[in-house]
Amino acid sequence: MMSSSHPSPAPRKSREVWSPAMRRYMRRMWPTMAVYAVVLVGVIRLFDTDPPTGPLKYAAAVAPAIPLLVNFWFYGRYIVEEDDEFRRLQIVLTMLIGLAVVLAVTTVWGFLEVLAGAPHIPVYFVAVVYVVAQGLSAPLVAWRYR
Amino acid sequence: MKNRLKVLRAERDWSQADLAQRLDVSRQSVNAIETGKYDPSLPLAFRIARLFGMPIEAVFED
Repeated sequence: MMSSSHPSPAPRKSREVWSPAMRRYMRRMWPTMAVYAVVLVGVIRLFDTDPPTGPLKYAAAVAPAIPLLVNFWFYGRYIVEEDDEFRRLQIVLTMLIGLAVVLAVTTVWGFLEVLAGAPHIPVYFVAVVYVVAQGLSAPLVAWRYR
Repeated sequence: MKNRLKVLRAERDWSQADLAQRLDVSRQSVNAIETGKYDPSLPLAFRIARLFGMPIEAVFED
């Protein structure tokens, strides 16, 4: 005979390391990065072999940035779609740490460049520094709330 | 913020994962709330109180 001494609602499917919103983001992000890789290689090859001129030069130069911009937008979608509020807080904290590191690194490097003759770094490295810093801060934030 | 989550959970013999499933949040969320490292939003606090069939101030105390 079945007795139900625990009339609590049946557990729904568990949420483990990847939330549904995170899995959706991954499904959007990887194809976008594949497009980025293809476009980047194509554009570099184009500028190496037959450098475009006029407006085409600018269009070709901007082309690799487009999939990255789309990916930034996907990341924004992820934050909006993440319905686990604690996970959302942790993600936003990693973004703030990424931002802080970018501001610190670019400020220091800017002065080194102008006053001490340090080599110039292309501006797109701002995004690289941000992504790396945010990624490295994730375990730190997780540890803070362990 | 202090809370009685751990006691209420133990009374029902639920693990952190069990409670997380019932609240539809991550197990890490339950752990952070239980240890007082994270204060849940008002909607989540209400969901927790309703799950235990208690008023919100019987679960959380300031």
